Amino acid sequence: MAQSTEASRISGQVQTLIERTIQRNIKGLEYIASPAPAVGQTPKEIIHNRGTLNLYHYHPMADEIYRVPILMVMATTNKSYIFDLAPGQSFVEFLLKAGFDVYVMDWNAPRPEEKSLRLTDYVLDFIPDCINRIQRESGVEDVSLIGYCMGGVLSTLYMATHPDSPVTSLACFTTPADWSKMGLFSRWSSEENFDVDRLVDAVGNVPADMIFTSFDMLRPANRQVGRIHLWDNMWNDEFVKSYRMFDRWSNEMLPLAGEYFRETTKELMWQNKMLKNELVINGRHADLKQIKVPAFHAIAEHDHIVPLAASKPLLDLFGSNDKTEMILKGGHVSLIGGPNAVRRLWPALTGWLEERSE
Amino acid sequence: MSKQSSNDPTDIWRSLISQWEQNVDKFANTMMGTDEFSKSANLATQVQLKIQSAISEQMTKQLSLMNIPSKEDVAQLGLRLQNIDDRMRRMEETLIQLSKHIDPAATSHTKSVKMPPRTKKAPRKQDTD
Repeated sequence: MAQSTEASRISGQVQTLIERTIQRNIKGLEYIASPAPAVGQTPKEIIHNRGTLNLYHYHPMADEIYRVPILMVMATTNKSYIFDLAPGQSFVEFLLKAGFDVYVMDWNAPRPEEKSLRLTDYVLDFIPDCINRIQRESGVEDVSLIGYCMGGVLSTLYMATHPDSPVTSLACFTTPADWSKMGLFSRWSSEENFDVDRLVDAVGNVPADMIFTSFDMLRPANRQVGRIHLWDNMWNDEFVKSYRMFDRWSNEMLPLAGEYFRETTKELMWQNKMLKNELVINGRHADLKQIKVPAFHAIAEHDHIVPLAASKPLLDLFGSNDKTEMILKGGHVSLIGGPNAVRRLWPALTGWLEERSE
Repeated sequence: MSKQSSNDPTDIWRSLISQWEQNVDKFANTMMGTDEFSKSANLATQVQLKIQSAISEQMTKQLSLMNIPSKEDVAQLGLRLQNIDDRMRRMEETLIQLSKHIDPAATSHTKSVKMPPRTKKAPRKQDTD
């Protein structure tokens, strides 16, 4: 009896193996022939464009919306469609369906003449300018601010330099605060080894492939193993679609404005001025203790880009009495776009925002 | 608590791949985390930049001889356009401020979609229980 069960199990395994091998070959050909999956399909309008900056307004998806609009600030290294990968896998769509009015600050590759953009431009000009436009557009004074990675840094620095800002709540995802704990990035860009002046003076804007390579080198085997997993799961349409969307996003990196890169390296990476609360932007002290609004921070436990040790101290630096920290399993990208995000982060953040958006 | 072992060859293969990935990453991170690696990588970048700079200088000279604008010339032109853009943006801001005095309900751009009312309330705790 036991022998017959074992034989039937092995026979089932072999059958699955054969079926999947056939499917892999068929789907593999489809994969090569088909175009990349469409991303960022949720209807939106560009309501403002200024060089490297685009401000999107997404069309509402609910009959009734919360009073306070949301502004999301994307990291300057990547495109914002990670917030809007595909229907059913889109953070923007999730927020819209929950009844929020959503705006997103997205970035284009900075043009050569934009090499002179500095932290001042992002923190004291772009963000306040977008907030003013949203206030006019919505007719509402208050705004909620959400920042991802470096977008979280810019949002935090904006709040720290604008104690009287109309922002009523601040949410950050995987935002570094202690730059000395940035792992290999800290080591590669250390003052002793890295001549940032020579690099920026020579290239103007820091090329996207240089940034891509430095991210890729953090996990050198990752890309190869990803391809093996893709082949292994080629029979699974959902896996392939998801793989292609994430792969497209991670390959589509943006160059960084030269002066902004120089300033970030010197002020944040070398001198760790955010953690020390000593950063001064165009004469204004970015005093993180001045951030008194409700604050939320989502951290990825296995983040290899912004390690847990780098992002963990963020909320401790704020002066707010209403702070919520959420540590989730997963990595830097899966935190906001992976299955765990759909199940845990999005509902938790939506619940947090609902109470603060009436 | 030991993990139940599987005799499925594909599971064993997946486990080996995962182990290989961890080992490679661990080894590479140890190697790339050294000062020697950082110094060598930065030296390589410096050499690359020097070559790039020399080529760029030669190219600029050639383009100038042929009366063709260089990347720097185009960037200068872009900068001028950006200044005009900034001025126009400031003028637009002023016009919006002026129009708000005339019609307080005016917004900055014409909406292509009708916005729903901003009356939604957060679900009360007892509603969700």
